[in-house]
Amino acid sequence: MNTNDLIQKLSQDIAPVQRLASTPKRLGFWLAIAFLVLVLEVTLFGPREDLGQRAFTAQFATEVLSVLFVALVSAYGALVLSIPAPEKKAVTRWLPIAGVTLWFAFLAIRVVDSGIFATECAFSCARDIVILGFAPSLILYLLVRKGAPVFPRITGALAILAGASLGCLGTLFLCHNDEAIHLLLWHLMPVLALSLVGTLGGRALLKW
Amino acid sequence: MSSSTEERLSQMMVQSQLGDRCVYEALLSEASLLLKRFVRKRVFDPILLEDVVQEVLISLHKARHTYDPTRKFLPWMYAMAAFRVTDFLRKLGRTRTREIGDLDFDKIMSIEPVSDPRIGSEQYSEKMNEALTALSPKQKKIIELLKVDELSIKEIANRLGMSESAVKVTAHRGYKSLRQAFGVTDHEHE
Repeated sequence: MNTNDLIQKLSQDIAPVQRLASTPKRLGFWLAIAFLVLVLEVTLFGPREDLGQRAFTAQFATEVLSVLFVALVSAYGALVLSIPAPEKKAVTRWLPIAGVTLWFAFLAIRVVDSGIFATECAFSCARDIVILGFAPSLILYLLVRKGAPVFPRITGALAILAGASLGCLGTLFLCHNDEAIHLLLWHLMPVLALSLVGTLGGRALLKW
Repeated sequence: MSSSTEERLSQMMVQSQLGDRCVYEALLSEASLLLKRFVRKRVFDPILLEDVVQEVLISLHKARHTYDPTRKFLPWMYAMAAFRVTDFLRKLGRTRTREIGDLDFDKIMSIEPVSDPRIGSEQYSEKMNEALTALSPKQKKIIELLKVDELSIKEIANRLGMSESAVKVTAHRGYKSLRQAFGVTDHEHE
């Protein structure tokens, strides 16, 4: 088929299309659904017994806020990148990296302060992050796929980073261990590892 | 690119999103010319160039709902073109390793079409017939389907039960033989 035939064929099939909603709207939609699923899952799994006491400590609040910040900025980045020629704002590019760096720095300082550099294996936390992060990641992948991502690897990695961060947020409400080294090795590291998997997933699943 | 072209194309895209068939056809025709210029800088083979341009046009069609009228049209279109060209060259690289073996693909890709003022003369036609006879039946068939029947690589691959990359490689080898028959070396086209 030559190009003119193709153009004719494409224009014959044309129908009015509904424009993709704005990035903030899509982010809001994702947050609403993802939080709803997360709350249901945490309730179903049973939150930690000492949540009432822990929830109001500065340390817990900082941990929650840093994880939430990473989830928000990486989800925003993934949605922005789902449109060709995304705005090349430094905010989109660097905020997820800055968020993860801050989260890491915050935990690393606490590890040094506590003087505890070892912890026992806690595969259950990694498992919970995967389970709780699955739905938010899947929803975000579907939202990104509605667009036309031209950087599928980065977009995929950011989508999984966002979903896994929300999974990690949920895990904070389940896990009893507040040691900094535990949070660093069994909360933050699985999130980063999953983001790497997201890089591969992006190429395979965000094709269009 | 002037800002009036940018504004005009953007306006046409908005109308296309509303389902205006004539405007969309005009937009795609204009876009295909711009895309040819864009892709030609990266893909030198005319057949492959046409394939890539068509792929970008299909992408533009599929992604037309992602165009935001508050943003510029051309960066949006070229972002997709760059994505498709990169993807295409990556696939080609993989094919080269798997199927081409010792063939210098980059060199072949850089060969531009022959434009010879003698084309049409009796002597030229005779020489062309001789050169075509020297081709293998498969090369001859593929070149015939490409140039006479104007089929796409994909259509030829389906018809002959070959992979698309095998069709491309066979066609390239055929062109190379033809050039050699006319005493034109690849080097002269670099």
